[in-house]
Amino acid sequence: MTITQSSSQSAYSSAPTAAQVESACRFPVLFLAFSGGAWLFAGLTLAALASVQLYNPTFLEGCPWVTYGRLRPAAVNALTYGFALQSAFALALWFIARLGRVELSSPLGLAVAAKFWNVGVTVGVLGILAGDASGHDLLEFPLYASLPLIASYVCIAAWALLALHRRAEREMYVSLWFVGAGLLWFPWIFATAQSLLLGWQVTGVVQAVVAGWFGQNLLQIVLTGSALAVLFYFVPKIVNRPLANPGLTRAGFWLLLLIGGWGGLAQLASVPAWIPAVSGAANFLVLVPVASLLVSLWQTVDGKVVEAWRANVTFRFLLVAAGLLLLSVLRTAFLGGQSTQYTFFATARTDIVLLGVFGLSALGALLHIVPRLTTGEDELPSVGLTDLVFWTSLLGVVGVAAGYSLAGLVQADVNMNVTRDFLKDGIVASAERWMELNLSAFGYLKLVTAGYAALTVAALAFLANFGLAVRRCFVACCGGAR
Amino acid sequence: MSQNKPKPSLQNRDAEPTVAAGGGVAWPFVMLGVVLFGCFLHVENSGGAFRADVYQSGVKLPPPMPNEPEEVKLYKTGAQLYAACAGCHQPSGIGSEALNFPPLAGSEWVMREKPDRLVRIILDAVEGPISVKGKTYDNAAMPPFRGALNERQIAAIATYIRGNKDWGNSASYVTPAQVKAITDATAKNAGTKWRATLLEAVP
Repeated sequence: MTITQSSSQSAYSSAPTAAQVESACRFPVLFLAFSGGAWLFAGLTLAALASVQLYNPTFLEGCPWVTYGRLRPAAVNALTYGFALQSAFALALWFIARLGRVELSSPLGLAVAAKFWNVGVTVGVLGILAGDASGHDLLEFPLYASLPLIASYVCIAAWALLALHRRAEREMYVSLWFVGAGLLWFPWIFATAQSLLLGWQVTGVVQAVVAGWFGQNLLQIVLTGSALAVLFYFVPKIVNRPLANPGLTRAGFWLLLLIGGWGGLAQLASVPAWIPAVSGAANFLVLVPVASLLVSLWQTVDGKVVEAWRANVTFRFLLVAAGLLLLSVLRTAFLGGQSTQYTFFATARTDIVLLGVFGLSALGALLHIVPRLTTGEDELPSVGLTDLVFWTSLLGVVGVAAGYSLAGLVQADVNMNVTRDFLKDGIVASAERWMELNLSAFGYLKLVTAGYAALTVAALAFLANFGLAVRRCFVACCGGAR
Repeated sequence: MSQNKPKPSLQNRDAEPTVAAGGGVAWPFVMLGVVLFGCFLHVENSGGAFRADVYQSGVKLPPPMPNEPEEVKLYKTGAQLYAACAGCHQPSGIGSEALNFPPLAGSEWVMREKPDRLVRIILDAVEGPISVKGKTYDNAAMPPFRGALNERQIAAIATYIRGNKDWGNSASYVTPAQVKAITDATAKNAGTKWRATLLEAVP
């Protein structure tokens, strides 16, 4: 034990310092993080507009580009590929640089690959708005947008994995497990799903099975894994304690990879009964790895929660994100079966993971990373804007999650009741009897719009603070030249 | 701006998180085992026996199709109704020697050329000593199904029991008309359970 420690310390002493590895990864990480923030703003704006059409169907009437069937997929895909995956790349590069103590080689080339990713997302979102959506959940981008995305991804991931291979610190910390798993997982699921759906063009219910499998793996393994990498990096760092119980963490990591991808088909209809049965069982099983990982974090932070909440803004984001992670797996396990089929309850799940579990973790991490890479300080220039980001994003996520979930439960109640006809009581009656059932469902959907609006404010505040930091950095570096 | 409001910092900004010493833990795997048991029950009950042609949760055989022959429809209906019998005679039809439940699989009372004895037993039940596959059983627990099930349902159960190849049974199917004839012929017998000695007189 002592031998390995001393050897790793000697490797450590010859390794580049934190400042050196950060200056090497600065440009691509900042580029990816800022583009991610911009797509967060764009996607939330589209999502807010789409949600208005749920209770006000004549809103934006007459223009096919902004009908609900195009706006909502454009919003979800902009948030998934533009914000979530792009921010996950930024976090992955920073974690590899920091935890592996490795300087990224030719960071400018990496930024060019990241630029192509943004071009792919732009083409895809415009393609959806133009009516070329493929119609598969979370995979709506048309083929001509998916191909540049895959090409750009190959560059980014290969760069990241090569850097990981060259790392000076050979011992891999927990966050790097999740980062590495996500980098290898995404090309597998994306290439498999796209080649089956758009290449081979499988027919019938197989399409729904493939898309459901992809969505589940993307949300539960790639994005939740990225959020867990953030949690496992920042929580021990902020409370200044070693990560308690590494055995528990290891068990949770492998069980999550083993089980996490099996859920997500529990609500499929018109497939053989064993598929939703096995998937519903997996939704329960995944409680075990999530509980293991969260218990391990809790043991690390135990007794210092209030102190850390007051002292550190990143910790506030992470505490809420961890709570939402637990909540999202619990609600899917207990209510995510046939009772809430075809309702907004399932819609809520995508938004909770994208914006809550991943989104809040990523924003919290970036509020630590961005100032380090720009001004070199501990926090972004404006404390007021940072607080605004936290409170508006917290309110926004709660509004969207609660609004969609409650509206979904109202719909599920109509579905489960034999005496009520879904078409008559759930849809037609909305025009005739405003005072009864539908008003409540509509009220919840208005909460969703308010949530998206609050999140849009959060994205704007984050971008403004980011811009202030970059401006201050330029003034400091190039002040003499101006 | 941030300098105006210094906050207490818990962390060393350049330090990376470390890992405490510690071995493995067992509880996630114990919990996994417990949840896994519930999952198996769930999949067994609602998984449609992993058949590609069962789409409805909670059913293990596909529903009868309109273009199927009558005996196949009866067999599939019987497979679902057999749940009422499986408590004693077991889903596999082997009964239980220890608990005094006679088997249906390979039983000479079931596998006769004509279904008259089997239908009589389902209609009015049987009590007293009865010899099945060389063992003597004596159990008065069987309830009569006359009036509880209609002729078509009794024909379906009898068809399922007699024709279940998984049990090794291969006797002919039973029509509702046959059941109706037997029901009418034994109408005066209603309410009295059969004895094996009386049934032996039936062809």
